[in-house]
Amino acid sequence: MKRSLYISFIILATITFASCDRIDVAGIFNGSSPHHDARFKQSMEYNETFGINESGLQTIHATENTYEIYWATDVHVAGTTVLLDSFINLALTDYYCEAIVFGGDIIDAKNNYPLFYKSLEPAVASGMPLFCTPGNHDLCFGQWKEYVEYWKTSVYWFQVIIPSGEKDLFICIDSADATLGRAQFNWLKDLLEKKSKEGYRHIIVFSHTHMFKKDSNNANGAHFNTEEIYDITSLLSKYHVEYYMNGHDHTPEVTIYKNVHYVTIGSMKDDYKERAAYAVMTMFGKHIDVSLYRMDGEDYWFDDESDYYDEE
Amino acid sequence: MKKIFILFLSCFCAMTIFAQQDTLPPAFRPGEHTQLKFQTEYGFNDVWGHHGNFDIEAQIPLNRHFDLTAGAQFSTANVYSLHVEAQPKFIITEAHHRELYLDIDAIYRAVQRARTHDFTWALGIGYRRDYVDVEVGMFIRTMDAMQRKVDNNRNEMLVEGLAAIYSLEISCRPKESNWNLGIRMANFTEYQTEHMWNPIFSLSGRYDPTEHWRVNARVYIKPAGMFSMTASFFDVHALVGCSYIF
Repeated sequence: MKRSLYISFIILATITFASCDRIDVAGIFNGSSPHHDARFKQSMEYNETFGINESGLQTIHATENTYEIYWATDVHVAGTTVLLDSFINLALTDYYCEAIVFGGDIIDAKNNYPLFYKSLEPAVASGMPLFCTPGNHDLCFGQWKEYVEYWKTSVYWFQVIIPSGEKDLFICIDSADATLGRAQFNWLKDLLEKKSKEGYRHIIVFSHTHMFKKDSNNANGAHFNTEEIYDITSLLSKYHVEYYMNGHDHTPEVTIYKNVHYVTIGSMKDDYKERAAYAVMTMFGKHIDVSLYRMDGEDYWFDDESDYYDEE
Repeated sequence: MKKIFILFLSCFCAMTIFAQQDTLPPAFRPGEHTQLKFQTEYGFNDVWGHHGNFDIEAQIPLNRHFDLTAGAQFSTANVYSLHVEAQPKFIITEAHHRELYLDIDAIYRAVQRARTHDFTWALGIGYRRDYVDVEVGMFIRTMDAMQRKVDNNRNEMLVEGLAAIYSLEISCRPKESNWNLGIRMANFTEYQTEHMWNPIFSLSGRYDPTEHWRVNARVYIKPAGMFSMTASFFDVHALVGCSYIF
């Protein structure tokens, strides 16, 4: 009797999770969207067709020598877009903002892509450049199709040229599977090798999956495997990448390893309310300032001693 | 069809008789004799590609209640690892070899290919008996560049937070048997420790052809992104080796 109850519970739980729109049970065993190599191949085909590998997805000509990039990640749109709308409005009203980048997990579950894209309409209408890198939630339930329908490619680069003639390089990579895969890793390596000779002032990488976790909160999903952490961190360090901006984990954290800043900014999902955060990267001269802001208007401050963002 | 059925039945009967015979006099009990182990591995993963490993390991039971294991691994991927494990044991009952144990682990990895080295320290508590071995614990890891060459190297050594380790191994036969097969889900092996959402699945087998020799084999698979609901293949290793039992 006890055993039957136990088995019934397991079956019921499996059916419940499998039938809900949030937990992609099949994806735990085998991702339901094309895997990283297939997505990379598709992105490269698109890039080749439009010459993106050579000239970048976009070249932005900044109006001032000092400019900003707005970065939000893990918005997890699930029926509402309150904070996303506020964030878009903040970026559009900031004179120095030259682009908005999303770090993946833009939606939380099925059927939310239309809602997310609707929130982008004011930015699109104003001509604000928008970029995105996919997260694991964006690909659950086979939703790569919906992702790529809008964003077209998940692996690409863009650049910003300032009036003084200096230029900064921004690379978006696809780490939604918690791996880059060999082909994408080699692409990144070749790109960094080539671009490091072209005199870029700053090189920034945008990605979804975090590389490190210094606090003990393991609640938010898979890391890269260690083999990949060794090789990617070595590569980024070798080519003087200054920042690796990521999401996935929802606890803000900064790690400086081999002179590369690994920044996790936390989530901007509506449920987080006052804890929700976004980052503004200000590029001025040889410096980059990454400031983290809470959606309730309070600032986080970066504590050099502990490397954690604390509430002020 | 009939022939296949007879053949299958014959194999089953032979295995049953074989199993009855070899469980009677245990050649040795694990953890009571010093073992020297040599293993070769073939590995493939998405980053390192094809590579081979050679492992050498000594398992020394200092007494009935304390095992010491030390090993080294050399990989053609240009990675070199050392592993030391101390295992105090508390025997619950002799029957079915029920025991509680503490697992104190230290792993050093020199990842020459990435000019990085790391230390992992782990402490686990486990329970094992015939057929089952389960362990939970915590680990902490430090990572550092092998050569610090940049001036403003703040926080060059990285200290990760405490994180969980776990292992569940199920075997199909008692420990005394002269062969066994087991499956295991864990986030660590002798030479690597992953974070808790990056499990490693393995299928292992052993066979003791004589009193002093043991043949070991293991295949393990490490996916990427499993608990992020975007699982895909990342790594596979196939290992074969032998142990000399003193």
